[in-house]
Amino acid sequence: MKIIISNSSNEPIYEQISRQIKGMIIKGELAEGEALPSIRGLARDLQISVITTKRAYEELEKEGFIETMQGKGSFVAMQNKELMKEKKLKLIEEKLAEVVRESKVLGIKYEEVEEILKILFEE
Amino acid sequence: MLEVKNLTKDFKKFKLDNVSFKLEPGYIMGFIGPNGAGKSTTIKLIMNLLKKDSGEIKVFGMDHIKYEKEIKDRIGFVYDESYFYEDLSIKQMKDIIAPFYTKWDDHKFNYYMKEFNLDPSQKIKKLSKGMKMKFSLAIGLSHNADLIIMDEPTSGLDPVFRREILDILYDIIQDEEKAIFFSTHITTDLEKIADYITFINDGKIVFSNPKDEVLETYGIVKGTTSLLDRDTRKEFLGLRETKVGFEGLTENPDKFRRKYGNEVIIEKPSLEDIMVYSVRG
Amino acid sequence: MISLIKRDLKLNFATKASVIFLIIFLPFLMLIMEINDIERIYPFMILSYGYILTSMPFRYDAREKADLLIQSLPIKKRDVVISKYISALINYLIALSYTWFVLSILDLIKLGIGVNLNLTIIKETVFVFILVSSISLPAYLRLPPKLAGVVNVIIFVIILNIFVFMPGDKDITNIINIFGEFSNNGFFAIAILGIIYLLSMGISIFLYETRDLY
Repeated sequence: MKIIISNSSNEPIYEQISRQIKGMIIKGELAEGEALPSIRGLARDLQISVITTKRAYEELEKEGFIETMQGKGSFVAMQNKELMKEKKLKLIEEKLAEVVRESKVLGIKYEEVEEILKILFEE
Repeated sequence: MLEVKNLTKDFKKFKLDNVSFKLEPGYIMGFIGPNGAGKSTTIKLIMNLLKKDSGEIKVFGMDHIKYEKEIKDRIGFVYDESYFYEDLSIKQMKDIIAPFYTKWDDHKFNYYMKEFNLDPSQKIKKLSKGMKMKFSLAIGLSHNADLIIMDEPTSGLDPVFRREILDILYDIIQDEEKAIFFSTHITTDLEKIADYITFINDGKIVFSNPKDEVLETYGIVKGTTSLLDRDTRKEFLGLRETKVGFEGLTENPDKFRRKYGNEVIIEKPSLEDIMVYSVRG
Repeated sequence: MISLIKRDLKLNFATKASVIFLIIFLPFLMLIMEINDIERIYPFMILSYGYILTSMPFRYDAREKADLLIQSLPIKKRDVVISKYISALINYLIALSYTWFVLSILDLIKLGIGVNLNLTIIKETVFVFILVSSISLPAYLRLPPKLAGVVNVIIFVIILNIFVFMPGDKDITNIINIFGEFSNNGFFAIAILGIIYLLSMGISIFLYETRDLY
């Protein structure tokens, strides 16, 4: 499992962690039921506070990505197939939203973007 | 695990005034402040080396004077000054100290001797400051202490050493039943490892909060001096103005973001920034 | 408690330098002392040696700031005080034995003073030692190290002058006579000394427990 955090980024560290783990789960890099590192072990490996890792895991649990069992640790939650699809779509939607924003700023029209998408998908 | 409530002690030229904070097991608390702020004094009061004037100190839930012996049996301490008999060897010093602890573990001690590369037959006076510190830590860790109290343990040590010590502390805190209380004016050490930060200045507690919260609440704002007016100046805890611009610490970076947008640069503060700006103003 | 007493003893003999010092101190005293009354040498040596043995750990602790250490270890302050009082008694016995040993050897090689250890000497030195300790131990346990050192030197010099250097003086002789009568009432004397010592210990415990370390 690979997690890399940046101390100089404006994004809070706990968000960096939960975002990266979320991404791994959605892409299937972390399988359902797989164990996550303990919050303390992760804190030590990343050299950050255990409160930060705890918060990251709490966020993930709130959004249904992981489950924490007292005394046993945290595991990737069984993902509801539909929910997964929804989450995957949300990920793409976020990325596309940025494309749309940039297009508007640069004055690119919807049809031109559609063209580009077509070409990219055919690659 | 460690609970200090309204601790007060009056010296002729200095007063420790209503100091309060709390540390739960499983966490590391950094105790920061400029020199002379009262860090060592607070620790000495906790360890009952100085007598408090008023206030309550509880360790492991027990009053620190009534149960002094039981509490100290579970505390590992590392102080800044050297307090060993210089003429004795490490082993002789250990033989004097060990019998006082009920849970002394010689295996652990030998393990740490090897880990820290210390020779038990070495005379204490021949040890460098870093090695003495490691020896203190080895002793503190060899009697199954639940609370580790450290008073400026890394001052005078080179960064390599300091990082080694931090690694050791990380290992200790893997055990959720232990806690570490660490006073220092070298805030960079705490930036990574601390869970909570208690900031003391001139005998008073400025804040005692989770580190993440502290670093997220405060912001460093940089911009041109023309942007400063009476209202904005009030928002700063500490401000530095030069010919080329200003730089200041504020508790409301969002206000600046909204008001000035791209005209100012807003950065995450370091603990050092917070300390320096709070103290200097 | 025993660990504390062991520690005090260990400290005194910890380094080569201190061991050598303790061994040659008495013979050395013999050489440089010029006391008018030869008999006075015996009590003088016992008392000086006992004094040195008791004050050495205090000086060590003050110099090395080891009282920071001791007071951070799981030790009751009361136990520290009690152990010092017991150590003082042990130091007296060591002083007594070693003085007897040295003077006996010197007698054998005809360099000695020709005086044998007798009950009077023991009684007198016990009396003085207990009295002096009852004042000096609280001083060491409560006052800042330098002040305690000064106080102790003053006490020691005064007492020594009374009992060792000036027996010819009329007033001093009276004091010694009073002491003489006192010590003849065996049990009574022991009881009073015991009470003084215990009282001093009680006061020391109170002083030590309410003390601020630096």
